[in-house]
Amino acid sequence: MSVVERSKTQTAQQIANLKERPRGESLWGDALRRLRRNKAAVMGLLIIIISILGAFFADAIAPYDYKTQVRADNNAAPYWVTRIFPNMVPKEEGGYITITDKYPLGADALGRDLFSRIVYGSRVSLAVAFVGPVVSIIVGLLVGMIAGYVGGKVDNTLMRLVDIMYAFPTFLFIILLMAFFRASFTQVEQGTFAASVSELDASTGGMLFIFVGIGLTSWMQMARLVRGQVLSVREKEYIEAARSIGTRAPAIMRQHILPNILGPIIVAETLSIPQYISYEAFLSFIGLGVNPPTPSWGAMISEGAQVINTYPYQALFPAMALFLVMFAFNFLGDGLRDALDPRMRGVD
Amino acid sequence: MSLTRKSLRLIGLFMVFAMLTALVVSGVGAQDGKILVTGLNMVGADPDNSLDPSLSSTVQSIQILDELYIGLTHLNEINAAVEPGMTTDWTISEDGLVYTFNLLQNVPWVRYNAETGAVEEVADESGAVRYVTANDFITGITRTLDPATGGDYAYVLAPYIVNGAEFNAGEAAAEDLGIRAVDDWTLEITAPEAVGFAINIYGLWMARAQASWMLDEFGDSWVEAENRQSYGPFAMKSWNHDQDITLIKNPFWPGTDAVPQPALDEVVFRLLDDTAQFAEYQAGTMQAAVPPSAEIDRIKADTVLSEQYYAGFDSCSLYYGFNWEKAPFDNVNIRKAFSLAIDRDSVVNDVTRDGRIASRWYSRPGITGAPTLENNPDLGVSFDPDGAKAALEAGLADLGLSSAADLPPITLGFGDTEYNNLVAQAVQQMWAETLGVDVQLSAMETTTYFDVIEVDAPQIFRAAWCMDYPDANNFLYETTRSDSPNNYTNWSNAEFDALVDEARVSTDQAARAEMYARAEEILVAEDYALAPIFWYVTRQVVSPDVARTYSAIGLERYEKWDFAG
Amino acid sequence: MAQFITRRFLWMFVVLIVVSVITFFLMRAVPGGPFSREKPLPPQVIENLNKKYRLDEPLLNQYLGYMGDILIPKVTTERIRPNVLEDYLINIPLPFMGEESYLRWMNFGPSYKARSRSVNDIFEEHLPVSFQLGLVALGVALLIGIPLGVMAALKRNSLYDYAGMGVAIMGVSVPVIITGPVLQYLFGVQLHLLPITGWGSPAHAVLPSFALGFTYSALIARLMRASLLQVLNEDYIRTARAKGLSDRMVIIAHALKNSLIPVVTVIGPLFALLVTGTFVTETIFGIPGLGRYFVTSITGRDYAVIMGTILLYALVLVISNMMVDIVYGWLDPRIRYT
Repeated sequence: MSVVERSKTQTAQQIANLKERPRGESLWGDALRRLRRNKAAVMGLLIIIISILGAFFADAIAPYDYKTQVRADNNAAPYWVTRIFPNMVPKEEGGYITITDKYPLGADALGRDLFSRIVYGSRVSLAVAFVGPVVSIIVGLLVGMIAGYVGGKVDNTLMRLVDIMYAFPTFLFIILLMAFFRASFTQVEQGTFAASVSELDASTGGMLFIFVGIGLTSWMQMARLVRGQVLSVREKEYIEAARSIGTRAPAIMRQHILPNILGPIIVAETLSIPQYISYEAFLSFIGLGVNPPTPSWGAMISEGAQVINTYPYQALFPAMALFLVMFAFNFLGDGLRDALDPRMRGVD
Repeated sequence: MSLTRKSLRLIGLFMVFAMLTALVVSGVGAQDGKILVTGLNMVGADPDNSLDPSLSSTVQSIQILDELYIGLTHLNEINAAVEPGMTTDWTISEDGLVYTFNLLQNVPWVRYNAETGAVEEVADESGAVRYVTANDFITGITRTLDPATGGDYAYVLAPYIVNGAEFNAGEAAAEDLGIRAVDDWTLEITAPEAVGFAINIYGLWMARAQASWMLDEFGDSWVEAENRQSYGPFAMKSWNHDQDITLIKNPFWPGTDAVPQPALDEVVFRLLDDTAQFAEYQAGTMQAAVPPSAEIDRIKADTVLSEQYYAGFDSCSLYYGFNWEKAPFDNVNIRKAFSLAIDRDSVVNDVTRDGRIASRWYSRPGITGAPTLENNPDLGVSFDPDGAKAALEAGLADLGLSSAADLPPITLGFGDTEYNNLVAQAVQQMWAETLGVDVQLSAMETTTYFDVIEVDAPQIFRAAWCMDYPDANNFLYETTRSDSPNNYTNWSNAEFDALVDEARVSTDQAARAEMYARAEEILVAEDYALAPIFWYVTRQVVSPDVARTYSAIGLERYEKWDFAG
Repeated sequence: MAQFITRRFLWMFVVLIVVSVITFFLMRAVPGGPFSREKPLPPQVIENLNKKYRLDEPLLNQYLGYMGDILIPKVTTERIRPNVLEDYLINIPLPFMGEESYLRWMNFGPSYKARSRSVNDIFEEHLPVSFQLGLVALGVALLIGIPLGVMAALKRNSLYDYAGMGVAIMGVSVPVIITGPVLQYLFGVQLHLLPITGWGSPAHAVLPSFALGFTYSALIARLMRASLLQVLNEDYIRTARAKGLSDRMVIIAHALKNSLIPVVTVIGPLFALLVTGTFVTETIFGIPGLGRYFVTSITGRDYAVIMGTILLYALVLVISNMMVDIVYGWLDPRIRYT
């Protein structure tokens, strides 16, 4: 090849390379790539997906039905469980525990399989774990960003609204809702508002009012967090730069502020998930929970806490399930935080 | 060093500091004298902590009041016999209407003086000691029945004093009440009708002597320890709200056969829930406690604790009522089917497991007039799956339905507490297994539930009744008679009404027992108005250091307790 | 600043009024009343009680009467107690108006459940207890949470990080209802080191404040970590490092203050929650605090106590949120309120 030809091919090559534009990576694409490489986050995501699948396919996974009682087997446990807790002494050794191998993790006070109830219980707890953040992020993010960015009277009014909601007597409200829609034992006429609310309640397994309660109580913390973040980010130079070139407020909030405040917000939200589950457990504890015999981790933990000195495994195993899911959400949350941090772009 | 290590160090230091401080300060000084520490569970949705004879309504309050104020008659805790309380004796007129009580003389009113640390007699302005007189009883009874006081339990006393009910309803004046002080030491009560167990009623906590001068001086605050005056074997030393109540021996109490001088110097009642009580008991800081039901299995299997455990009498009786006005429970066979399908033994042995007794009828054995399992072994209902299925068939035939699936939706309502939930789920399962019927459970917030069942009870509802006084009349006449406001079943039966009316005024205990037995049979085994489930027991653990009496009435007499050895 | 505080106080008043209206009419709408019992009271008795407590008047009158008792001071010569309906928080003697004259203010009403006590009594006896416990618990949460979070951020993705966060997550997943009895059993029953229940000495505060604080320390640790990580990547930190400042100086002088903002945001409502008392902790540890009244007043429909506790909570909340806003300004001088 002559020199001229070689340089022609080289030039052609370079032109071809130039034509193939590097795909401008968007923020989200960059984030996804980095998330994939974070092993812990991927593992967390896997665990969550498995839990969700488990909840969906509970019928296939759980060895027993969650409400079948074998009362004679109440509080029975396999032998290995008694080895973990020194105060659980089997009957054969002079104690009070009935040993049986029928149930993988033991049975509860009514002889129902604990493992099956944990699997079915994941439905309620995962539902709570998703509804909470969804409501919280949608409402809280919006309120917080507007309050923080616009400032002034809008900020003041929104924050006072947040104050009022913080002090809002949620328990009273839930009692009222339940009393109104659940408590009338006479048949409600079909087609009325009351009837459709009752149907919705029944179809969610008695969870409607818990969702309402969570919805009412979850978004305020997010709103205040977001506002705080926005306040500190608002004065940064790149915001001013964006404003100076004429970017409108919604665009600024979406493109510039949002990515920079996501970190603590995601973290706070993933960490609030057990708070939602505890809230549901607390509602069960004071008598406003799901209708029995529907299991939920929160209710199982608080029931297990009553017998923690006698049958500790009844609280321990649901708590471990919760812990595992929490860990998963935590790593996922961390991974998301790292992935979405624009400062980290191009670092990994 | 790095910030990491510094942070760790900081945390560690803080912990050590906290522990050290705690250790240094926590040295609890040993108490002098015989001090019994026991627990009272006053935590809950209805904490009645007035400790006022005219207002109190819970067993815990009555326990304390029984030590501070002795009534005209006193219930022996071991055999439930009526004994003289603040009286030497009493007479009843021929027609059974006039009760004349001869009071113990020269029993002083006392109070605890925090400065001197001793119980002292109360004196009036001239310095003379104030004694408990018939007028003080009149003060107390009048105050209880006064509509302005608004006492929960006035209605128990009112029917047994002339014009009592009228006065309580605001239709008569205090002067019209049938109580009269013949002299300082003689009290006369006139009843509107002759009822055998009225003598029991006059000894109840709402008919105790109260000090009018104390009420005038302190008003609503008289209940506080620094203002309170009492006369019983114990006086109130201190009352830290939500924490503890301390009673101290009253040396001025004369001591009678029925109510002796206490051997203990002080009794401390710690107000904790049962889990906390039991933890303290195990740590050795309490000598008597109520353990949680959940721990009973473990206690009974433990060689040491099982010796200290005692399941005592509790007057409460639990039942599932049927609302007669709601289909399909207007049909007797359906009710029978649902009642017979409940395996009560399984409920008490597998579900509650704390010694509760599977019940065959409604009123609690052990109170006057009520049938007992020894005397009436075949009375009432018990688990009978075949009978239940047959009854269901008959019921379906009555209603013209072909199978259980055609029944209207059935709801079981109850207040949402842990054990209510457990029992309801277990019984729901039993109905599903034996009858093939799927009953919906409706767990409601407790106060809402009480409100709702008064007006519009569900088809099946959970209810319990605890005695106001130890007589079957309280159960059968006052809650299940057709016109009783406590009868949510809307059931009525003329024969039953006639029986309980007659038993109420009869004084022949043998005849009464027969009448009540027959009434129970109608209630639970012929009309199946309600399905009895179990009778409660009290759970106690008491240290072996304590020499105690075993109560059969649900209240302890601490003046008879002592430390052994 | 003074203008800021004044304006906020005025708004606080508005918030409290709104909360009081919502709560009052909500609680009266709920079925059941203070005199609902498992064994129902005879109708006469209920009538008498309603009359005594003025519950038979029209709702609006009751509301206005209630608010009037709290807000409107009065000059009177009557003794306040013996009547539980007349219990005022503030009593100032006015000798110049004649003898026995007092300026009385703030009557929060009687409790219907504990008939000899007024809401003022309940506040006086139980609020200090909850306040102390809450403060110590908050201290525990901060003392564990902040160093843990800082450490995890600095040693990112190391063993310290994972272990620290693991501990934090455990704290959050295991609620007080479990950690409480376990701690009681360990330290009280087995080791006899600390009292199990009760209140009165610093020793009594150790277990409950730890059980309570540990749960929230997780939130604080995680927030701290995330926030610090974010701040450490900022330009001005890079500048400081480039200038040659040591790592520790950099962190303390520059990063910490700014990264505390989310933590402080959370502390506001957390403070209000903790110092007005927590039901579960107080029940488990037998602490005579205000927390249980929040729940029992609602289940028992004790109207004056419900109003009192909720208004108190609202007040503390509004004040602590205001403090948080002030602290924002100190932490990050760039923050300005337009």
